[in-house]
Amino acid sequence: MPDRLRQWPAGCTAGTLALALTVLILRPLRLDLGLTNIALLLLLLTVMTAAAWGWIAGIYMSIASNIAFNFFFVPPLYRFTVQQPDNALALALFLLVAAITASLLARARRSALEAERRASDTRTLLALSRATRDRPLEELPASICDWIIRDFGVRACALYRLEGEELIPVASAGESVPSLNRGDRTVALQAAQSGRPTGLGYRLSRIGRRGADPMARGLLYLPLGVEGTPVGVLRIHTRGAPLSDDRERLLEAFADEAAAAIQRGSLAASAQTAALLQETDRLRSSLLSSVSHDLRTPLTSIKTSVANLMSREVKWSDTAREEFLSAIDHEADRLTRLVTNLLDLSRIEAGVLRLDLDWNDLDELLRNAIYRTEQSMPDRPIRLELDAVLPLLRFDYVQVDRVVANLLDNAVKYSPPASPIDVRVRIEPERVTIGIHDRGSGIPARDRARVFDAFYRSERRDRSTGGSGLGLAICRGVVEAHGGKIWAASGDGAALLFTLPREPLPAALPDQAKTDMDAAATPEALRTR
Amino acid sequence: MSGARVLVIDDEPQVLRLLRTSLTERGYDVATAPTGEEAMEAFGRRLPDVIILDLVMPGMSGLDVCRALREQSAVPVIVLSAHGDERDKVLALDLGADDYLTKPFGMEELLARIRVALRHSAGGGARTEPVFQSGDLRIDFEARRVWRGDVEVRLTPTEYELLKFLVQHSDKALTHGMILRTVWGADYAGESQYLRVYIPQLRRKLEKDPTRPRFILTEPGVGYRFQTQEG
Repeated sequence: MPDRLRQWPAGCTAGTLALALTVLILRPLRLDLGLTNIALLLLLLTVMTAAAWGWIAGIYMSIASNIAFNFFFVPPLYRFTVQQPDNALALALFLLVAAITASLLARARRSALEAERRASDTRTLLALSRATRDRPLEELPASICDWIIRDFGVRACALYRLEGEELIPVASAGESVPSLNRGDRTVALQAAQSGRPTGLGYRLSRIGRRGADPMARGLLYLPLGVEGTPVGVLRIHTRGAPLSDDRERLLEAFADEAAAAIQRGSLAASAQTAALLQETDRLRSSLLSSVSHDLRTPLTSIKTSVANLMSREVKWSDTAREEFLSAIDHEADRLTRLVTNLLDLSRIEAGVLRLDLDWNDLDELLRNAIYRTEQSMPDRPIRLELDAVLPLLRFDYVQVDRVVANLLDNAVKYSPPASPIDVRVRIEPERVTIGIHDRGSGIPARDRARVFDAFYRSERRDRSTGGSGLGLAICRGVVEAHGGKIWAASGDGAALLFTLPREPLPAALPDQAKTDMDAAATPEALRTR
Repeated sequence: MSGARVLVIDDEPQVLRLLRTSLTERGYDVATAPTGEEAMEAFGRRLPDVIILDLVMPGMSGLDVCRALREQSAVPVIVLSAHGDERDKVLALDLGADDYLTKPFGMEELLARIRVALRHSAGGGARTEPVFQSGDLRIDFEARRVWRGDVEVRLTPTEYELLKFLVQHSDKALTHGMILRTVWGADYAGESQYLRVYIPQLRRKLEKDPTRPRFILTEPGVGYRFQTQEG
């Protein structure tokens, strides 16, 4: 109880005052009360002082009470009679009682405080383990750091993950700079690898010296390890004074949780990598089988037709020759489409799709795409539903044109012959949504999220419909590169929708264009220009 | 037209062989070069009437050849490029190439482009006739007046300048940058939104069906082309 001991001057003052008051009150009653009772009252005063202000005040009070008793109450009055053996004994007893009381009370108080702290530590640990269980893994390191700042009253706290010889910042709280300078790094690495808490100048203030650099003082590195393997370091920056041993032990419990969080994080990451690799592998093999099939088929037709035409054994009729030639033409187109799609998809997947963003007229693009589809599919009525004039949008004309063409193609493929297709455009302040709606059998709910995956074909899409399952994947790549969204929905049939974001037009244009267009330009006006 | 000298530059021997055969059969005098360096040499020797140039070649690239050619000659250049290389097409056109074709292309398309290129070089670049007629569209450049059939079309000054530039370079692919620089000025070369407003405006006044233009065609990702022969 160092704090309470420091208050002894106050205890002595208060004790002296209380003693003076007691003497003043008891003196007239001296004969009625009897010496024994007065002695006991003064002893009570001493014990209370010792209890309230610790042993220094207690000893002072026992001496003061003894002198006052001797002087004011024991005959001969107003004279010291210490030489009498019973008086000396009384003083010794007073001293003994005061000392014992003070120390007993101090111990009781200490153990009460200890119990209180243990209960608080237990509560903290319980809450910590509950939090590590409930909180999502990615938030855990940051919340552990926050917690340490709050609970330990330290200046800053940062968590580093050990990767080989590198310490990678995971989370921090308090001061914002979690990057380590070279000296810090050496100490931190040493802490992590040795498994012992290390602090550069951490204990300096405890042994009473002042470090030269205030920032270097109070830095503690706690090693984080799981089953003997170092996984990282917890860096604590105290407010100067080192933490008490108890607090350090509690901090180690936090460090253990942090270590577990880091460990779980890296396990989850490697599991994710493994899943990704597996997915890539699956994609690659499905790509290989799909592409090799899709490439071989047209090549076979072309090769067969050419071999027939080159053959000198058979004299082909003109009709047969025409047929071979048109097969070659048709299959070559198919190959071209496939190769183009493959190239585009690989550009998208490699992240090297470069958009040629420019202000473009979506209205023109849609009408053009619809016109082209109608040319090749004269029996399919395609309606454009547009409730207002489309604003100019910033997009890559060629790429978005392919998106619309692919979606129209898709709608044609998966809906009954001669059924109409609707292209609906909704204009909102932030975006424009383009929906292509067919009257087919729709897309089953479980397939909707996956139809945009490369080479994914839901059951309704068998080989007979052609296409390699690349078109929609390209659509998604292009739309997402534009910052839009693409998704499948269901209405009367399937609906594939995508958005393009709207941006404000450069301000100068509309007014200038308007004045120019509104001016009723007469031929005379034109001539005088 | 027959006997016109064509120089084909491509690093693919198959393409060279095929184009040589096809064009020779149609009466052209064909020379080929497998690299840009050899092309420049062949150009000096043969002075071709039209050049067909592949943009993607090892060594001296198609764009380099285009630049080098333009330093010494106004010979029409038709560039060949792959799908997705719109940027290169625009670059080549801005460097002075006259037209482009996307591989793979049909022979008919190539022949049509060669004819247009030869006609332009014969006419000395931009059209300068005082009156232009195509379909029911008639433009009197001296009077600055435009008719559709018997009805006079009223154009704003900007619309007229835009139409004039397109018609003077009819059947050629014109990049957004070229049109903007000429009609609006050098500072406007990047402001393609002007074209997105004016071109539909012009189509509404000139085309029978503005959504299926017969005269002013969009070249996706590149620019516009004024088409004289309905194709």
